[in-house]
Amino acid sequence: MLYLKSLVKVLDNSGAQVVECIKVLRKSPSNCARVGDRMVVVVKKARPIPQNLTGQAAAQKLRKGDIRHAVVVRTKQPTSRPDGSTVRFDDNACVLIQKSGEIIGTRVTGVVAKELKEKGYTKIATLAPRSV
Amino acid sequence: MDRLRQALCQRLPAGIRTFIVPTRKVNVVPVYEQTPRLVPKGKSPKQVMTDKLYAKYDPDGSKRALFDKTKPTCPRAGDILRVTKKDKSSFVGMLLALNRNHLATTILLRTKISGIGVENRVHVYNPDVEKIEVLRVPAMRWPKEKYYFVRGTKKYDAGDLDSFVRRQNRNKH
Repeated sequence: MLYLKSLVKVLDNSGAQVVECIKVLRKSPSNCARVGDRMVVVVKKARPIPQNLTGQAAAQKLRKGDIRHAVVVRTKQPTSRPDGSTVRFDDNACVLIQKSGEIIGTRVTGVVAKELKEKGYTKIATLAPRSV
Repeated sequence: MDRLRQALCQRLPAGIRTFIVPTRKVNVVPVYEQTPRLVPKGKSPKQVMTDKLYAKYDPDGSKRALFDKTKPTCPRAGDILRVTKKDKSSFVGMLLALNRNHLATTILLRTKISGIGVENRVHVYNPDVEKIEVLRVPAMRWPKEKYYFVRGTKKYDAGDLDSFVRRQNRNKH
């Protein structure tokens, strides 16, 4: 259950560490983002860019204050499945994506929910070490 | 009006009574054939229905036998269980809670995958659940029915149980 002002962990190597949700996309204002939902986020905390990294590689890394789209990959709120079972994780996490839906980073660290595959984010599910 | 009366009068031949003669009424109670009994005499309908559903969703009775309260082998909070589904995917976790509710009985399993706690609530009598087995019983138990207190603690929380299973398999060979 993520809404305006929720702080979310980032699971990829785009450079961002913690982001803040500023809009849940394609939902009514009272609704919240669950696994597989898209939202617009602001980078609140980013990894420092090493000094020897220059040119395009440095420009691609995200900095504090950058605005990007993100897809929720795991939530603390239990996600219910059609067979009645539920899955809940200990934290809220997302993966940053471009507007077209491609992921910004190249790697995904940590476990993600299985629902991503059905919602069209097969790439994230396959990059992740394990999907539950 | 006159014309209407004339038309009506023409239809009735002379000498026919226009009032209703009261006939004798006989009170007959219809007796229907008895329908077959849905519930045998002396049995509770709820129990009959539950047994029927158990026979449908647990034909071999293995799940009922595992979660039989009276047996000492019945899983309790703190045990490590493995749930195998029909698509051969399995989930290993520590049993936090066993919520008994006849066919809606669920188990809550907790494990840690790459440092993150993952909890899975599974319906025991779901036909997709092929097998539930107890992998380990702890040497010491806490006097609690539910193990929710282990969440987020360092000392009591379920560890990385996938690696535990791998270690166990290695020792076997």
